[in-house]
Amino acid sequence: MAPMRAFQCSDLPMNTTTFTPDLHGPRFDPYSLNGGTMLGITGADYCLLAADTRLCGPGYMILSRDESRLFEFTPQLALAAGGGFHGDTLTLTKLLSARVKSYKYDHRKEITAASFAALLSNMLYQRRLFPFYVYNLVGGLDEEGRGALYGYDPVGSYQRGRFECLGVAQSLIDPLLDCKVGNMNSQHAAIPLSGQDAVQLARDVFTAAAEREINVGDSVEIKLITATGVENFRYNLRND
Amino acid sequence: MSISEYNGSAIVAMAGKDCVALATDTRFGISFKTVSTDFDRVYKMGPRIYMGMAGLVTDMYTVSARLRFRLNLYELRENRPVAPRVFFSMITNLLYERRFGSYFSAPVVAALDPVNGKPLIAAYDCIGDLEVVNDFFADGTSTEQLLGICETLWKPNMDSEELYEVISQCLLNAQDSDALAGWGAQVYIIEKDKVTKKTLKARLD
Repeated sequence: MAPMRAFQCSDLPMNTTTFTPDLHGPRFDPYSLNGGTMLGITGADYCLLAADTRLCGPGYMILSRDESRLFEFTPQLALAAGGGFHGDTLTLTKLLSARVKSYKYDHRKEITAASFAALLSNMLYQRRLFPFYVYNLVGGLDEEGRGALYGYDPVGSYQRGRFECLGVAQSLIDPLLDCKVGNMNSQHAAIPLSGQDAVQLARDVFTAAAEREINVGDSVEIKLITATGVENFRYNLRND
Repeated sequence: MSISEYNGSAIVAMAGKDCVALATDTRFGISFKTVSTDFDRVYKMGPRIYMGMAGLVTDMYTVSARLRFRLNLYELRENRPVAPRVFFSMITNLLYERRFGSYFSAPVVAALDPVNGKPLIAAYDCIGDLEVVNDFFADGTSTEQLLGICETLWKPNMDSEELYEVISQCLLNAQDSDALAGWGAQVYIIEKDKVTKKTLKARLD
């Protein structure tokens, strides 16, 4: 019997290179799927953004258990970006940081949520023919202090909504949000969700998603944006 | 769309305390065209054995008819209703006969054990892998949607009223996120002394 040795990733029966042969010969695939699920919930005076922290690699690999997908731009504005190629997430957020700083120097005030939302849409559409493979959720407070959430597709189509979920576990989480936050298919009147209730709901939602979706796990990072600033929470999820 | 998504379906079975529920949508479609909005996917195979079938409808008809044939012969020979676990094996055998040219339809069976009244849920893939689960199982085109919401709302040892509420919310909200399933819902609640069938009002799209 052969002596035991440590498991190597090259043992996986997968083609882990990004060259995929087709009629045109082997081609370089510029994207890689790094996983990620993001969630946004708004209320009368808060906006919540949550994202898991597992970074996946090709062939069922975990590249990191602790990679943040939430980015703060101002005390009342944050972005959840992921669900596609992490390299594009990092580049996009780097460019956005620079633009937000520019805005502050030019206009002598912080950028508002609505302006940032429009800025992101334009930046994404400029790359229409070689997109940023990133699913975005912009969360913040609008001019009246109410929670604002904007959900995007990779090429910049966006819409303001009360709650939104994007990423690999979107199909698992969407119906749950419709039920608990959207009060759909319910005979009872809606009970408004407070900020702390929303944090616990997000935690439960990610716990459920981690059970059934292999790319979700490790931990969930939550940002609760209110008029006083951003409060951070972090909860552990399954590691398998 | 793949062959198992051609007709569209949403099926979920959930276990409670001494009761079990089976819920399905009622849409029958051909690709994106909806053909029927009151389509029944549930078959009664025993006094407390109900089978829902997901996947391709023509295979649903064939599998259920062939199963009914085998079941009838069993009951004529044995002169008694079939026991749930025996019926589960019957399904496995029928599906595995077609291992290399499978049916594109898979059953979800909800039953009560006649001996101890405990809930039994039998989950299959299209070639007959049987798994008896003790919480819930979902199948059809809305599987991911159903799994997400069931995982959060289900808890063990629910009584029949709470089980009905939970399974209804799970199915209605999940099928609303799926274009190929919906147009109504049927829920069967199976208890020791009675079986109740309820029809739910759902989004008509």
